[in-house]
Amino acid sequence: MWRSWRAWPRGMWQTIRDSYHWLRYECAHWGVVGWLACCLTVLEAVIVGVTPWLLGNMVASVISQYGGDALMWAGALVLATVVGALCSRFGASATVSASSHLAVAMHRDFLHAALADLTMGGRERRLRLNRLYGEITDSMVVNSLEGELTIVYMRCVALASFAIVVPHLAVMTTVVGLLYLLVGALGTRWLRAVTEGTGEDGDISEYWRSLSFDVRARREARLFGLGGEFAARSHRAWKSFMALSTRSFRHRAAPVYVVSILLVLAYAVSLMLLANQVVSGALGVGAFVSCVGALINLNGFGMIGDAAIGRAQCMQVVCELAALHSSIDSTPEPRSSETTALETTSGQRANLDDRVAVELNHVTFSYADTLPAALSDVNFRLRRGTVTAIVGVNGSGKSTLIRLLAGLAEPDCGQVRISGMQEGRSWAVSAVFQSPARFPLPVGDNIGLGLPDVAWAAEDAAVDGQLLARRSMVGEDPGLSGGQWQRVALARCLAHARQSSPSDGVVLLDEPTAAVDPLTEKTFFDDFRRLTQGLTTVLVTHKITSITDVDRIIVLDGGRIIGDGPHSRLMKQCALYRDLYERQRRSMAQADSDVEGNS
Amino acid sequence: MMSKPGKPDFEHISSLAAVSDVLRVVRQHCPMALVGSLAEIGAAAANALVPWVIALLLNGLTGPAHEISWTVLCLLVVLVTADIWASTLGTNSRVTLMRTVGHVYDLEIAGLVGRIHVLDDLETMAFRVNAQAVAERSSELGRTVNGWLIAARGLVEMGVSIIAGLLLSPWLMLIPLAAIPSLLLEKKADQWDGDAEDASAPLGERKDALMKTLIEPQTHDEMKLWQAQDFLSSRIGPLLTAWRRPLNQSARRRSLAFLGPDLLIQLTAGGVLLWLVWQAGQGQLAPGVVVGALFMVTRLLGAAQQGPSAVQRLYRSARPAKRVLWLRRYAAQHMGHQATQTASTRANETQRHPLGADGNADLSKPFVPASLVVSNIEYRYPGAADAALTGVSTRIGAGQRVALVGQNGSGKTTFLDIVLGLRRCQRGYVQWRDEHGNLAPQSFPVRSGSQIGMQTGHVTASAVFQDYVRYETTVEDNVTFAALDAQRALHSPSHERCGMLAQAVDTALIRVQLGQAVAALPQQASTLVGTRFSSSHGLSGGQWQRLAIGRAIFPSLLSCMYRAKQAGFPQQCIQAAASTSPAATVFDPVGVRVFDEASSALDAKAEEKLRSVILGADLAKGGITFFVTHRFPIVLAADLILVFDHGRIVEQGTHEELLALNGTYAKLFAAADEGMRH
Repeated sequence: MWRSWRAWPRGMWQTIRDSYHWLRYECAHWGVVGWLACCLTVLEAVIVGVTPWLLGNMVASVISQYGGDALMWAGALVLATVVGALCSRFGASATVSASSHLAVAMHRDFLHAALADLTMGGRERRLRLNRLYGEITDSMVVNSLEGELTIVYMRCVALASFAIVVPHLAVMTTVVGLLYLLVGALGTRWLRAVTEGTGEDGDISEYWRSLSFDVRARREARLFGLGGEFAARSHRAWKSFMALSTRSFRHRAAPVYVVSILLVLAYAVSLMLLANQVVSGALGVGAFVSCVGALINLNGFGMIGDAAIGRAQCMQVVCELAALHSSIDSTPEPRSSETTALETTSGQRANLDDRVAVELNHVTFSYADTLPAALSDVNFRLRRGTVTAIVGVNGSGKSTLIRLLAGLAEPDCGQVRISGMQEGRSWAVSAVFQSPARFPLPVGDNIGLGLPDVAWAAEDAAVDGQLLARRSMVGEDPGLSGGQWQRVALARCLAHARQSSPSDGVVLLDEPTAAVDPLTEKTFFDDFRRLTQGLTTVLVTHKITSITDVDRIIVLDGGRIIGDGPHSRLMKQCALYRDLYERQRRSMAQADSDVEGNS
Repeated sequence: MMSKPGKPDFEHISSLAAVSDVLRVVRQHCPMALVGSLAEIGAAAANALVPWVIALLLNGLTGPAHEISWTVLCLLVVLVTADIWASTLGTNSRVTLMRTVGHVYDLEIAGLVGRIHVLDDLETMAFRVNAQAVAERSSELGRTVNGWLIAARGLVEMGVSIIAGLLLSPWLMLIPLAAIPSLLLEKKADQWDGDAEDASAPLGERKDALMKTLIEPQTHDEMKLWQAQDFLSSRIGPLLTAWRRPLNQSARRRSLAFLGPDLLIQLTAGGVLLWLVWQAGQGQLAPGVVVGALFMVTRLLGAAQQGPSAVQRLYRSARPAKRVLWLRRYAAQHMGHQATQTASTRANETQRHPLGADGNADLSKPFVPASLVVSNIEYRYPGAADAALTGVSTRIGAGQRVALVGQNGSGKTTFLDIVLGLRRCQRGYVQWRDEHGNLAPQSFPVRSGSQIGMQTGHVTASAVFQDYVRYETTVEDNVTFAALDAQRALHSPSHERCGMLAQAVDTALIRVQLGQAVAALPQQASTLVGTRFSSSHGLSGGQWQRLAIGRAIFPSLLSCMYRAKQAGFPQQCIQAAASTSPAATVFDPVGVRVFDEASSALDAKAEEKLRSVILGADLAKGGITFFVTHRFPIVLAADLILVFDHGRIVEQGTHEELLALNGTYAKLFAAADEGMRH
């Protein structure tokens, strides 16, 4: 309790700052319609705020029997309400449009943040983005503007009401009004508490729930009967999430209740004082009616709490987006800066030799400080236009090496230098990863990702022509099989490699044929030379027997290079390589003997 | 009997049923929040009395005594403060309600989807798609409850206002009456809103699908590599704009259409106001009553404006709940139906499983498959032009290892789905028989797949699918998910049994060569693995695949250990037996196992070590093992090879027989062999 009180001023300050961000964001994005909505709402609010005054005057004239005057005031009242109603109706429509603008803007911003964020990478960031997207779709962006306008509305009502009541009971109404504002602001903070301080339980719950709908998971879920388990786990996580959030909710609710006690007191005192003044004749009955009307109008301020829910969520999202954007802006381009730094430090190596496409100098990399290095002190240079294979057992660092070469990770120490990258060319490096990206877009788009003509690449990678012609979204049932996806990825890689640099460039293939049938694989290896003509190729594969004719083979074990050279040399010098090769030979030899036995 | 799959038809479900269902959920899961909300509604009613109290107050003031009634003033204060407090409390309660209701329905829908045992044919696909659509909107359901309560608050306020207004002047009744056209129009406007929502929902889903891909790690990498940002934004941008357009249009239409009814209400209220003032001017109404009535006019005006939309909101917000009800009914009708359908596609079936559609297989007498006959089956994916499988027939005996080879997309996985009972073939039949020639229970093997008969130690089916799941939970869960009921049984308080579960997990991990890797993790088998949560540890592709294989062999390992224990073997002996495959055959049960490209991410060394596991060396007698692979060393060990091409089995037989045929298989083999023989 004490802690929550102590953190209170800072929290308030943060809320004010967030509100400012949010308002600025809104103003920037809601467009003309939004301003219209805002104006209509303010107009409506002012009318509502003025109504008690009109009412009071009318009452005064009714009581003093001035019939004509009373009718005039009544007429004004009618006019005011009609205008108010029209404002309200059109304001609502404009609000929907403006909130659409906002929702779209938020999505766009997220999109840009997510895309610009690529240079940063990192799991933490991805987690953060993931959560943020959940919030964007979940947050009541659409209703938040309405909430926002409700708040504006209420404040205008209050102001208009004050303006009229001030001469009679300035202090008390101001106190009541301010207390109402405080309740509103506290409510905002209070409701934010719901999403804060609950750890990952919410995400965990959502994960298990979404697994029930996951297209990939359904086979196992059905065979092993896991549906109920997913639901149970989701529920368990949710319960702990609710327990935590309810607790933090209760903690923060205390100030709100305290303020509302003050509010009630202020309310009662001001009503008593007003009544007293009327009895003593200091205040006319008409003015009394105006004051009471104004105070009752203020009553609607309780609604601010409601409006605050959506608003708090949106504020959070916008601030998060802003933080994301600013962190992206403030981060320099890592690779280019490093390259320039290298050029200054090691003068004679500033430019790569013309014949060298890729150079690794004493590269060490580990995924986390606590884990052993995935790669340690790796050195090699690859000549332009050659084919290099990387072999090793699972976990020897092959995929890590590919990630480093592709620029998706930065080495802890040492340098990775690729010739095309220095000239600022895009796609100097193309790659096919073990699990290729699957965009829910037509196959052609998946291959081209913006390149105009990809039919030839699709043909080279043996992607089915029918698939390519299909305009619908892939990813819908029956979808593409794993092998088909791999071919799509291969086509994507070839298309980009040729597009960026028809004559040279670096192509990384991380097990390109793992899930491909033997015929396609054979076609691939047969065409391998032709497909990668002139390109510097790095190939990771487990099928050693198919790569004996490449220019150079690098054998990795435990993150170190233990063998390097052509097949014949490695067979003599590298025990691990020989062992791996022999194993495959042996299992194939059995087949051979079968064949011979048959023929 | 079958409603046309596709768009759910839930209009005939009564709103009342939907509302009462939501109320049931609320009553069961958060009664306190309901009380809070009811308090709020009560406070609203109190608040509606305020004008009346003001009239009383002014009557005293302007009366002959010209004095203020302090009691009435206190009443006014109480009424106003009650409103403030209750609405603060109410907000709190409504937030809780909102979240709870959304979650409870979410879970129910997830559970319903989890009950579908057949992968997508038209029917289940329709169900799944609809369920997904409902799930997308179930948070809306939570919001709906919030809407109801707000609407209810408004309605109660209006009702009390009307009654209090009647006390003051009957003319006030004209104002609510003027709201009738508005109410009628609201019904139509609701239709527009509904249509707009339907038009925007699919766009929203596509947008979500694309946006979510952007966050996935592998997509992230590739986008960075190809610098595809601009392209992807150009694809998502138009979707974003189009997504909200129908909603904007409907809002605009609404505001124009309501111009007339709104004016009617306003003018009526104005007329009443002027009439009252006129009457007061004539001295026919006491000034206090006039003022009370005037307050009431503004209040009723508000109610008349908000009322129709509140009523309509109440009506409309029943829609998400109706969807849930529709899903529930549909599931009740068709999930039972599904079981019988599967049964009827099996020709010659004479005996029904005594336990019926629910598939609670009799654990004491598990079905032990000894032979499989597949006759002339045909399967066409919903919406696909060509059949994925046509005229596929084969016969597989007990204890056989069956290899499925063929090009990508030739129907191997579809065939396995049908054999496992995960899909229903549209023509032909699949028959499992035990050694006495009895037919399998109707839902075999999919419904009984997870059930491991602890008493007898039988495992019916397990599999490593091509798209196996990487469960973002502990290593132990990843392994034991294949035998959930056993896991639950063994998690009983009995310490001895818990030990056996852990032992079986360890053994499975050792068998798939993960023992050391897991031991190196900070909490060993209890370490969270994956990429999603901040405390989870990443695994490599090969490790995940081994974990999936471990999952597939876990049930038989567990039951083997259990049986050995029942038979009284000493502890060390059991563990030793389980760790080394040949010895384990002594105890091992029989079943169906499927390995679909289970070794694609493994290197030669690891694959060789796991080959015996994949080949099912431990399935001694009776069990049938299927494997799909492009790696011929495994294929060579098969007793039967099925060669698939364009949805047909073009050749079947042993390796030698097939080579002698010199057909598709020989070509595939030559291709693979040539690669090897460089």
